[in-house]
Amino acid sequence: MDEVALVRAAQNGDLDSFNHLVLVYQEMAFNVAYRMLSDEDAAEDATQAAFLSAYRSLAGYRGGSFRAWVMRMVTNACYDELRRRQRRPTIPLEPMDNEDEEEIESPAWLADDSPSPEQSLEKGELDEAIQSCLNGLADEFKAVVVMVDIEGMDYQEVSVAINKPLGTVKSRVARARSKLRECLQSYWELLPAQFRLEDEDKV
Amino acid sequence: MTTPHFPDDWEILSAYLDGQLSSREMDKVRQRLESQPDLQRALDELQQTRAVLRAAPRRRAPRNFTLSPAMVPQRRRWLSLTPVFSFASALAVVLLVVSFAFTLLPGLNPTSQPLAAAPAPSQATKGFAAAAPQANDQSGGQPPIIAWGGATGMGGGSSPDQAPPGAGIGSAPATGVETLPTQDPNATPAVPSLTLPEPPVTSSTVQETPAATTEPALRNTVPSQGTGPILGIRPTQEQGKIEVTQESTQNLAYGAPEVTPAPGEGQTFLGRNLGAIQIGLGLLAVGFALAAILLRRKS
Repeated sequence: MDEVALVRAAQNGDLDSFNHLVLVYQEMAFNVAYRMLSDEDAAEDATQAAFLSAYRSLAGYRGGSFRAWVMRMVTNACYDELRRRQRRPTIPLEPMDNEDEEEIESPAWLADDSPSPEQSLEKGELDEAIQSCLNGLADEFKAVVVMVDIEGMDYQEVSVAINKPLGTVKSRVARARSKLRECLQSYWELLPAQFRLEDEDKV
Repeated sequence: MTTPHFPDDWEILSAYLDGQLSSREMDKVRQRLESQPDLQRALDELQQTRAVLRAAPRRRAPRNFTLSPAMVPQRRRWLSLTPVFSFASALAVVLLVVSFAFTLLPGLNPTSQPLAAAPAPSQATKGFAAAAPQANDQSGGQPPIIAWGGATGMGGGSSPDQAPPGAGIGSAPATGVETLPTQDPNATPAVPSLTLPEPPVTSSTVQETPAATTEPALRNTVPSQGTGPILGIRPTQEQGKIEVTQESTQNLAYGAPEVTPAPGEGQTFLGRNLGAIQIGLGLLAVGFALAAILLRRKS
């Protein structure tokens, strides 16, 4: 049964057909949620909430890319979780002073055992380097660059997923890449060889 | 690390990298890349950034996220009731509007003669224009008194000045009666003709026996102005007037026989219960709308 037939059957209340679709997209949904939330447990909860929301909102699906429509549910679930975190923050992400933006030498910060960029890559943790840079992006930029560059979605699909015009997607992708380029600058020399530029005249 | 000369260049280069530019824009960027090494360098860095992101390790889903029937209980039943309530609410609103139309629009509500009579004068005047000379001739030279506004002879004969609109069905409103001053004050006294159970003045009676016709009619005629008695005889200055009803003038104009409506039991029912019906419809509309909203939120 193709995707269109599965969606139609699911819209008529066939839960098995919907679960077929869940199996197709659950890994992508989970990866998007993980990159957005940077936490596996939270990503798991958001993914489940997204599929539950998708099932309840199936009547509102009017065709087009079902993958993009599912990703809209995922990004909405992630935004909900991020808003919840903002309402009830647990620990400060960065120990910055509000006025001069200098680091505060608090014991908690000093005790932070987060790996430096060198350590991360020494451990072969390219994944953590990427995630660290992604965490420095605003949520709306993060969602777009994750879907375009990590999940390989096209601009049109992302436009559906975030419910914004194509020009907004284009602009956000560019700005996110520009910021990520700056962030990854500290990792350039430690990147695997295939990612290094041939001309090593970088500052 | 190099940067493009203009902030917008990042967006152009990013779109160029993804093939999101038109062919003309692509050519323009290629030309710039050939002549601007910094721009080429920035493009390379963007390409490198994209390559790193694309190489990000994918994570396996820790479990299946399929839904069980227990996770989506009775979804269909709730959802199927929501449009029913929405439709019922919309229907109640439509009926409410129709009921208001019956109240307000002329000609729809038999109990709203005062309003319905408002546009009548022009039409009645036409009828009178054709019938007046004839009636004038046959009434012994006395100027006729013409009344608009459904003086069909039903009701209790109350003064329209004092009675509420529609209280006496068929009663002529004060604004709907026009009288022409009589030339002979000693003519046949005018008597209210509004609430007569008998048939009202007809064209035939006006034409054939003016005196005999006007007498029962005038007996019940309500004075258009002043404070005459409800069932009494008109003041002296208003006696001798001939009153012609709207329907009779219309019938004169169109030659149609006048039909005297039976005592309006149906009209009375509408008149008495229209308010209650409107309140009920309003309550139903609000109730159904609330039910639909609550169900939608639950679902």
